[in-house]
Amino acid sequence: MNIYVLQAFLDGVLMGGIYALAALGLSLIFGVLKITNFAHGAMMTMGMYAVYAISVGMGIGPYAALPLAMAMMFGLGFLIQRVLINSIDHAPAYNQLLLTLGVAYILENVLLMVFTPNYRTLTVDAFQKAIHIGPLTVAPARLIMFAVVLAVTAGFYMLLYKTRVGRSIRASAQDEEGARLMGIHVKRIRAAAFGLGAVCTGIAGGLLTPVMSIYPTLGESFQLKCFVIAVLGGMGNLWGAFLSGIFIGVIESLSGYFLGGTWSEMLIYGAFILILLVRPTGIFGRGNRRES
Amino acid sequence: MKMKKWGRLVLLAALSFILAGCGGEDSQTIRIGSVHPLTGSMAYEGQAIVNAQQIAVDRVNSEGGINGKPLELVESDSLGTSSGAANAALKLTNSGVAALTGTYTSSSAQVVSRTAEKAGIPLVVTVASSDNLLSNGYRYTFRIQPSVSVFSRNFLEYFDYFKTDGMETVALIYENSNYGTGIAEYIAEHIEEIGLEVVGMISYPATAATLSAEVTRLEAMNPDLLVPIGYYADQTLLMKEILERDIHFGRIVGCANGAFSDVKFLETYGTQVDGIYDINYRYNPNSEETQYMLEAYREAYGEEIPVHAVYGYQSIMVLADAMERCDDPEDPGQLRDALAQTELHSHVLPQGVIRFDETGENINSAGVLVEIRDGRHVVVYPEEYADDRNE
Repeated sequence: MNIYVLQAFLDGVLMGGIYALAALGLSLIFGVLKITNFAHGAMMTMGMYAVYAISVGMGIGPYAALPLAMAMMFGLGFLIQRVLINSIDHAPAYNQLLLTLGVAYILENVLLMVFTPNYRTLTVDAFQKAIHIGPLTVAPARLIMFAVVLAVTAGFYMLLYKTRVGRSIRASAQDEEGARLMGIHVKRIRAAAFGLGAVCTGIAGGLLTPVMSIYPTLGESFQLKCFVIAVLGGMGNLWGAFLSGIFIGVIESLSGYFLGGTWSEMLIYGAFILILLVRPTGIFGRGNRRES
Repeated sequence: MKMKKWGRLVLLAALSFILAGCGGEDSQTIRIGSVHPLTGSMAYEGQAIVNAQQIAVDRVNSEGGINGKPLELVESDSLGTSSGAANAALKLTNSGVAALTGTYTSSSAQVVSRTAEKAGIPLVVTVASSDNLLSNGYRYTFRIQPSVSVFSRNFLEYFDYFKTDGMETVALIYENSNYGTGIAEYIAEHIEEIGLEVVGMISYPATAATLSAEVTRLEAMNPDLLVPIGYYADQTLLMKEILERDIHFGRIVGCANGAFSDVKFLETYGTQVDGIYDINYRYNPNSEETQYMLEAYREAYGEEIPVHAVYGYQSIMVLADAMERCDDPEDPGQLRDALAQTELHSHVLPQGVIRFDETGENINSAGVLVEIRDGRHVVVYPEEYADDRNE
């Protein structure tokens, strides 16, 4: 195979990891709360600015800023769920959807006011100079990005399947009433799930901060991609979201290589529609048994 | 600083409400409307134009205004959308402004141009580059800035000043809207006339989250000349990925590039981007008026004037010049005729006399060729507009 194609494939996998992580948050929120979070892209931008502000304000590197940014994002997500979404718990789904859309606009405009529309760029030169791996080149920042994505996904898996909290989350996702009867504090679990979803966006956004210029409306371009990935992976399916993210990243990169970025979006959404027609539960979805 | 800005915004909003209500018939000032994006994703760019306009207004007033009557700039937020621009323009024309200026994007300029024509009020376009803006046969629209085809023509005209020995192949990478595609297609169509072979044309959406595949593709094409055309965020992303992978192209020359001629771009990359060229907006550094403008902008806003905002300053000066030649500067018909007869020798632009053709186009408009040298912008061509930064 042409070495450049291999390079494009590698870049696609690495970028796909970021999409996967952000989509995982969306999938988790959908799994537990049964709502599509349209503030997901804006929350991701919030995560970027959190890392940017902490990094510049405290004079530390973006990776060192990440834990604090994660804590802030968890708090933000927890609050949004507890104060806003929770209070219209029994409203029709479209109202909850519009509510998250409203949250998106509010977050974006808060960023506009605080940080102005100016473009911001972090420079961490040491991590940005590409190293050579055989005939391929890759910046350490992108390898770190992927390593963190893997670790976080594995961490989420452990949390969901090996801990008491995880069991509570899964129980609430499967049968809210049953979980409540079993003594699970469902309201708190729902807020925690939203908080964890926000943490995913915070990490994904934070990891992108060293490799992008950020501005307040940046998240919009990630919103729809996350949605596509979460659906392809089967909403609520952790590893499905992960694999779909890589899949979309590779499609984007290879089509960008062969045809240019204008075609990438067309192919991503083309593939999405096609898969929905052939397999409505997504490539990795197990069907809708649990939700019916 | 932040509080001051908010205070000003609130005051402005209040003011525009009051003014909108009372009509400008016997006001004490000559009012000029300004339609630019002041909120939304283009707020930074729009605000800079308005800031530059205010400096021009202050200058005219400090010299006694027009026949003793001071100018007043009335801002209205276009929100960066066509519908927002239409509302803003309508509000301003209803409140009785003598002229309109605007708008930063071509789609907004189209609708404001129509409003101005209907109301019979002159519009001086600050920034909007679309070629077909002046093709409607309107009589009231005038444009100072170089259009898409002027920039593209300049690119080919200045070729001798950025070519390297043995330059044979060229690849273009451009954002896929009207602006990027328009310039890229024009250059691709005509560059073979000067002996270059186009080996690749790659378009991408300005909202792209990554351009690494496109950069890999460019690496594979290995062109002697790379021509990037796009907005600030996507072009910084492109350069970031080129620098990250340490790929070297024979030469990189932008055309009306949203990043390369921006001061922020240099603040981010410093000398890492030395050797990049761009054909873009600029001022004439040898004009006394330019020195005044640079100085005044720095003093008022604490930063260098962004190059696109220069056209905001000039729009007011062109209007002031035409008003001086009117018996009644607030008569829109008279003002239009005076604008059409403009013959402005003293101005801040890197071009000859400012004069409009019958469609309202500034016939001598031109961009300049800028090189990034030691982390600074240096004008390479035309030589008469080179800065004193040049050796």
